Amino acid sequence: MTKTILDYRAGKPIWCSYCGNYSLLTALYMALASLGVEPKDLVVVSGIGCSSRMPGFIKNYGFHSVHGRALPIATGVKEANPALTVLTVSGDGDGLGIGGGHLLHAIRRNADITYVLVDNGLYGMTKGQPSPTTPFGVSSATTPYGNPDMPVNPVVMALALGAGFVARGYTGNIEKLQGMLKDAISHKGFSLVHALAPCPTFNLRETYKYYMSKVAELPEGHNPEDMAAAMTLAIDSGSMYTGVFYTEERRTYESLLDEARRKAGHKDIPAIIEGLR
Amino acid sequence: MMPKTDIVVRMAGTAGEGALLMGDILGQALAKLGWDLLLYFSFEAEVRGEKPSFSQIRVSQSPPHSQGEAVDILLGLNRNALELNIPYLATDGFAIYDGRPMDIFRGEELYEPPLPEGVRRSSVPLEVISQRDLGFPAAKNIIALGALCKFLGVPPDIMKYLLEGRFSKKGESVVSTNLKAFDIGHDHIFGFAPPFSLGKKGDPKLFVSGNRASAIGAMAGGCGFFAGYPITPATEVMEYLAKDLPGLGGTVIQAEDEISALGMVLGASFAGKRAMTATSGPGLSLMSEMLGLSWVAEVPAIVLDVQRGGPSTGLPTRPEQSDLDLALHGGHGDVGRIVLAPTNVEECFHAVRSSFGLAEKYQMPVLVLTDQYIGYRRESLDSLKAEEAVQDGRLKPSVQELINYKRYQVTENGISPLSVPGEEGGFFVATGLEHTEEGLPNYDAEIHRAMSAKRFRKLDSARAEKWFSRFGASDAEVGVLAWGSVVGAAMEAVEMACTEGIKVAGFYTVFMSPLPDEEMRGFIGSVRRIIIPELNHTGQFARLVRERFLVEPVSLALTLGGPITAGRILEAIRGGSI
Repeated sequence: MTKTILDYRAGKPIWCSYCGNYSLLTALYMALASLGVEPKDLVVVSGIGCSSRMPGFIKNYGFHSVHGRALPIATGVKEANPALTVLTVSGDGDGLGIGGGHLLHAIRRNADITYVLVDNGLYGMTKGQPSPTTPFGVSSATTPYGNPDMPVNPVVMALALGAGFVARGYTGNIEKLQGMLKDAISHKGFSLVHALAPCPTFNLRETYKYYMSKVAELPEGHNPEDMAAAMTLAIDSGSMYTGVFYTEERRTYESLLDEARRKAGHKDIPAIIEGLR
Repeated sequence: MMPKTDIVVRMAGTAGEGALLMGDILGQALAKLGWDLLLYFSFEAEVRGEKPSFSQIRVSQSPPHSQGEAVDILLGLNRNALELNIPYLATDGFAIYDGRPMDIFRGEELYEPPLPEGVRRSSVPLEVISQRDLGFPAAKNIIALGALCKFLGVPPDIMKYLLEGRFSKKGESVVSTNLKAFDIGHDHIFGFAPPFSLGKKGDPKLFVSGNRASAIGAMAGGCGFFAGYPITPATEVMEYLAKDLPGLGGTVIQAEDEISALGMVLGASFAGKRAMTATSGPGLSLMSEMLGLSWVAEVPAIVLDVQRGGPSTGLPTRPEQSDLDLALHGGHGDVGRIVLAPTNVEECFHAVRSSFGLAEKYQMPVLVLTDQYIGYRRESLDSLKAEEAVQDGRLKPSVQELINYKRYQVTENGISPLSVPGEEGGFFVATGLEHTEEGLPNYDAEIHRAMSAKRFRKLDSARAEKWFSRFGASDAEVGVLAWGSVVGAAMEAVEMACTEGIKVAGFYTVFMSPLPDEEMRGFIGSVRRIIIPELNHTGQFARLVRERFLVEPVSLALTLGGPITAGRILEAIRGGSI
């Protein structure tokens, strides 16, 4: 059945006016509608933070979990029932700070999960402390003498870790973002979409105005199967490129677990017990 | 002499010498011969090291409840291992050791171990045979096993059959060398009738460890998903399930850490699978936050904690019962959970199996507390009943309830209907935030009060599930309250004390949460003094009993780095009798 974005709307978002999350939510609705995902077969898992409230605003079986742990929970959901469409929405603090360790392993496993990493460049819910994507030297309430930590680039990180689908979108361009989300959800295996989502309340650096001059489309003719080119574009500090950097089909975790079941052959419990006699 | 019916054999060596393998094979043989036995391993965390390790078999004609008291036969694979264990020898025991030096012909003296008078001894030249005759130093333990089997009167055929099976993967020459080693050791003991005769006693029995029984219990309980992270002494559970669960259609994932392991379990459970993880103390600490999520979001989950010595990294290979506080109360906020503590190998099976039904029914985390002692120890059992159907599923929403579905509907027993992804109309968001009946985040005091009460009502409802036992004298004046792996020794101590004429009884409950309040109060009220033996420093169970039942028990809290003996509890009973 044809779906519209109305099929996915639920609840009433609680974000600040002009928050990038609104556009991301709309882009998600659009992507889900155009793919015709059944809400009953959709599970959106999140951690803690402003963007992590998103499952509550989508008609789905949502799991708003604990800080930083969305990916393990999403992995459990997907492997328990591979027929479900599983999305993970997690902020830069949630997904790269407290939960950063899980990203490495989620990428290694390559479960068919789409990971939307919503980047507002700070911890918004706790009122603006530096996150792992905050630039070096920035002053804040917890870094009054300047942020001593270097920022991470999630696209470079995902490429380096071997993710099979790596893209960056900007909430200031919903149309492009929704297309990217659609591709990411369609991709068989782990897909990461780094979504730049300005925080108008606390982030006075990476504003819509800032991104207007900084964000650029990936050069025409970029071959998303060319890892070296993807990496070169990802580390470019002059422009913040948006688009699909890299795609590669790898075996999914689901198929490997299926294979393990086949290799194990059929077992039955009484025989396992009798084997101990 | 008359053959004894209750024998304790200790095989001691240095890590890597194969003392544990000896125990495992001998135990397996005795189980096949139909004997009741309990095999216990004591070892260090390091795979190779100087510290001695040992395996100890207690074999008898009725199922032993503990590892036993004095050692009847002590076998030392080296002098240090022998001498360290001499204090545990029975006054009329046997010692088997290697008394012959390698260079006897160059005047090196025979080794005479400092054994007490009355202990009989036998020297087997393990070094010389393994190195000179066989050219295979690793066969030392198998030579010793041959000698030991002669002593015990265990038929060599069954031993050789098991040795073949054990070494067949390593190639034919390894098999034949080991068989030869066994024969040489066996033939070395001669000139007297074997003091014991452990021939065929009955039908072959199962030879099962607590960890294995837990893994089988999981399968029998309908586990469809397991995620875990390697940690001593719980890793075996994941290893067994990794091998067998996929063949039952299930999934096993090795996670990147324990937080992720329980996270995956919650995700899988949310998606409709019966899901479990297994860990030990440090892992349980890491899981605390996820356990709170499981409680508040009401997602069923099973956590098996094979306890080891703590705190921090602690004593990774030693049993302790010091995770009780964490298991019962760990985590921020008002959290509850069902906690089961099986007391022997068979109960490991039943506890883990039934934990799934409990988690599904009450939609909360269920912790199963075992420890290194029951996790690693092997017992011979007649059977494990896995045929019973998996029961007590989730309360599913009715068609009526799916209209304006309330995931967290406030009910009398606290249990609300739970939908599963893929089901039309059952939409909800599981959240760790306090929430309304619909699952919407809400911080109103009234909602928080109602929801806290609803969640704890489930725990109260679970009090109807009982699993406890009273043993000993019916007119007891002294009561022993034990839990977990200490119960076996407590049962034996109570029996011994009764034989001495002391009026004593024991009580244990597998449900550590919720406690069987009424029955425990009855037991406590029926005696004049309560003794609580447990393996920890602060007397965690004694504190719980004091707080809940307003009594002052005698706390026998011991950090032994090993299991307690019945004798130690008996002393306390004697001291506490009136």
